[in-house]
Amino acid sequence: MLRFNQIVIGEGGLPSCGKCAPHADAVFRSSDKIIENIHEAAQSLRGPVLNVSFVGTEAFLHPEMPLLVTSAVEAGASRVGVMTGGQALSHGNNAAGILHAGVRHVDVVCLGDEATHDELTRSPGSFAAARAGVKAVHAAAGEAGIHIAVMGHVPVCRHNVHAIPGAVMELITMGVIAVHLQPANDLDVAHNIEWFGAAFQTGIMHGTWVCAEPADINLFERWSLHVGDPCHVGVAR
Amino acid sequence: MSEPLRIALVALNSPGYQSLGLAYVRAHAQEDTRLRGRVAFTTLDLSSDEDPWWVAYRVLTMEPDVVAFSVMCWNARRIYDAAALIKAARPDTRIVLGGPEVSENAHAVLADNPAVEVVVRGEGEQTFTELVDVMRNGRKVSYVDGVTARADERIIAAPDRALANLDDLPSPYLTGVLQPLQGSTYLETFRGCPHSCAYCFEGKGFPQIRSFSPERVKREVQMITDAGIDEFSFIDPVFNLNRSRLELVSGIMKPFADKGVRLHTIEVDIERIDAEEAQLLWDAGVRTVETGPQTVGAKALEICDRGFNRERFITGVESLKNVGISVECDLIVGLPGDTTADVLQSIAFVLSVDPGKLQMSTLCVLPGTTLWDRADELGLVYNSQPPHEVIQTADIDFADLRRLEAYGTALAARYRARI
Repeated sequence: MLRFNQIVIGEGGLPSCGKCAPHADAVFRSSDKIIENIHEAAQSLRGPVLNVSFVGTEAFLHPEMPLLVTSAVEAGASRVGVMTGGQALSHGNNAAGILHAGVRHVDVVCLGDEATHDELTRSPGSFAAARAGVKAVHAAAGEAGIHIAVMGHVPVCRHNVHAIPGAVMELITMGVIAVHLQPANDLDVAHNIEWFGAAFQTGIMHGTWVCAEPADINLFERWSLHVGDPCHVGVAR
Repeated sequence: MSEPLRIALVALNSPGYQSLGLAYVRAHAQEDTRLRGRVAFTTLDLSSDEDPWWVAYRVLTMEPDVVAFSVMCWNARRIYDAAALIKAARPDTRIVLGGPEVSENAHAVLADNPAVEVVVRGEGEQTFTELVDVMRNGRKVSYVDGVTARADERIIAAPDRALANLDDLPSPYLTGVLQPLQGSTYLETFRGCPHSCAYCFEGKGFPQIRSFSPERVKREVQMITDAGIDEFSFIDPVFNLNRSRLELVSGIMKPFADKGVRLHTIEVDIERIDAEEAQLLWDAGVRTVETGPQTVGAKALEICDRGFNRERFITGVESLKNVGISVECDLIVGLPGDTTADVLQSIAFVLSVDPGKLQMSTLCVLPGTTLWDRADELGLVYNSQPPHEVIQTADIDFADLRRLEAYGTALAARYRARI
């Protein structure tokens, strides 16, 4: 469908479940390697235009994020996306700044409803800060007359699988246009199918698309349309 | 001298817009010598999200003798509610409806809405003028050609009215009835449609294409641009009706376009567009166009009596992009014959040509269309209440239709978010 080249810019630094593993500080790939990936993606273009999504770590922590976005734009990218915990969007001029640089797609990582998110991230108030960040980027886009796509990204593990319908609802309230559920490798999806189903239904009831990745997870036939994100393709790391 | 008949013309429009249809009706009636000085018109262009109680309040404070509503599928429910409130509060008020939502099912609308006295069918200019004259003289409204009306305890449909010569219809702009607004002003150069798509009301009841004279179109454009408007649109169902017509309109528009006038959301038949036609559109000031394909599913295309030539479609999009015109491609979810896979393939096709914008909408089974007539036979289940959205089809059940709507809407929003 809408092909995005996902380019990993680092690891850690995004909201994650503290019960599954201790929170890891962000580690970044070198900008040279990332820019090389951007050029490779441009050269091996499979769709009509180049779309790039920077994933893997908190975009606002990467010391050379402006350079990376500029490189993608200069390589001809029509759409540039970043992944964030959301809090940094409400700081200073960050929201307007990323839009000015060329970012149009923002994936906000959320672990559940407010209580679950704050508990698992062991960071009280982080959910409210993320909400403020999403509000800020929507406001900045409105002011600039720019169309943006803010989406929710929910890593799912055994500690928050019960909270994913709540996460979807909270994200819809924030104004996201779609939610992407990403089950952990060791999560028994089949055993928790009802929670995924409830999350999908919550989205549909509010006109918001919810999908689950990776594309080979085993869901019931009736949820087949929800499996796999139509906007994600090859990952460069 | 007796008091003039007070008439309120009411439309519930998309926010920021005015009703062109009501303006045509008013312009025609005001110019009629039988009514001049004997009838007082007031137009209320309200927003489609207005509460019916507020609409009724606005109307009732004017104390009109007659209230005429322009009814579309998307505003019909609020209008029916407002009409009922107006009639309950002031029973002597006579309520008239017109517009595509009520034209083809006038009898049912009258049966379901006791507050409504008359429905004007088809083009309203001549019929409404005569209706007002009949009302003013206290004669029976059911004798007016082109109306369906209550007569005693019955509902009577008068014969259809012959269509007007378009140049005989006074221009809403040139008569001063409608003040042009930047970005939300519409003109038309012809009425009717060369196509007969089964889901579409456009052109139904018009056996042929009728055109306004080039001189009339030019005078309207001159008046609009003299008023300082440099962005507007044409509502012609197919702006590139044929090459000679496109050359004519492009020739009219070019001097204005050269001075910076821009046309947006122009409906085109994209499969006819080559490099030359794209240039003619650019010369006319066109900067965004709207087109199908609605679906690429073969069965749905056949049922809907639509053609689709993949190569010509791609050529059309590329030709327009090459001259700098952005294309909005429309897809309809819920067409009979389409499967879930067809809808997904339609989205994939549109995205593969990278048109500029993807617009997803859900099928509404509109009164007077072929799908309305064939719904049972095709297994189309739709809401009998306006806007008549499809509930399920023979190939896609209710839940999957709702999933496809959400899927398509999200994808269109993600597609639109670009540098």
